[in-house]
Amino acid sequence: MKEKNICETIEPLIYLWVGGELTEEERQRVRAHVAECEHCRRLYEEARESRERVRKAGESPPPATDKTKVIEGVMNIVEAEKESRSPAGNLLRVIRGLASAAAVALLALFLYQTLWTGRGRLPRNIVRQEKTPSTEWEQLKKYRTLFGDNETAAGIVPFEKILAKGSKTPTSSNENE
Amino acid sequence: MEEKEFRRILGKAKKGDTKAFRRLMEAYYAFVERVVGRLVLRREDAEEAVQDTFVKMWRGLASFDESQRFTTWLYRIAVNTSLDLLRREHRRIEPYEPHEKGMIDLSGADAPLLRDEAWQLYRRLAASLTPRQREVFVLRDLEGLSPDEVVRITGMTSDQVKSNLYHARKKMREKIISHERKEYL
Ligand SMILES: [Zn+2]
Repeated sequence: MKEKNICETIEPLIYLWVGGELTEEERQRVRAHVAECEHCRRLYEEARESRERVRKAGESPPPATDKTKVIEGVMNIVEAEKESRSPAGNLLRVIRGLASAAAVALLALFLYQTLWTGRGRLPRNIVRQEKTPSTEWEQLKKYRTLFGDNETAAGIVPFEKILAKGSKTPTSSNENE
Repeated sequence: MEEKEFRRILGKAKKGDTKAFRRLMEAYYAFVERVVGRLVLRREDAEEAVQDTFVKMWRGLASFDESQRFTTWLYRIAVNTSLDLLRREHRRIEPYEPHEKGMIDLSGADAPLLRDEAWQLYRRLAASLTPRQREVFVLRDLEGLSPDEVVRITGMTSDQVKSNLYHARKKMREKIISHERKEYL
């Protein structure tokens, strides 16, 4: 039982021993144990052999990749990235930036002129067309109240009639009577 | 490539010279192809990982510290790119590629046949490892790097490197034993 525990703690060291990763102190410990333990001595031999076999197998070259295709693929990405961060690319981007800023400014100016400043210009005619008759109507209404003419269904009462009517007002006639 | 020439080309590539970068890539193509291939184990994946490695190399060149070893830096990119691919494509750790068996039979000469058999054996063994185990095994046992360099490339602690090496070697030994038993039967 005690033996087995020692072998268990020695086992990882054996695998590192075959690769040369042990400290001097560890190496002495393993060596001392292996000298008197048949089981661990066999394990050491197997670990050493299998490591060699895997190394031999792994030293064979991996399947070749398509070098031309891969290099062209890389260069395509590299050239594209270079263009986007080169000084010429930067200048281009600055110009493009300025151009789009100018476009935004022009659009804002246009909108400002048509919707705000233009309000007094472009829709002015429309407003006048609406406003003029209404002002005239207001004037007419004013005259009617002034001369006591009641709004009739007929609408506009000729001015001469209003004036004539006004000349013979009840007040003056009453005074005369 | 001679050291002086390498430094000159590296300097140009660092400044964004694509022609110099291309020369660097051509000089290190076999290196990256080998490291990546040993990790991802499949040609299609290797092509993807090799391409990604060089794109990352291009992007990182400007900030590459020249007092560092170039290969250590490139190892790190290649290894991380390969591991990313392995983690992304879990199913791809599958060891067998049946269609390749036919390809072996078609190759006439003896040497390539033996070489391919060796590769198939390695692939089956390596496929049983976790990405981390495979990483330290490839760097230490196949690339022959020092434990310190493995620590620098992987970012693991020295103890983690040792632990992964132990598990990798143990698993492969067990695989080899069961592989040999199957061959006897
Ligand atoms: Zn023992």
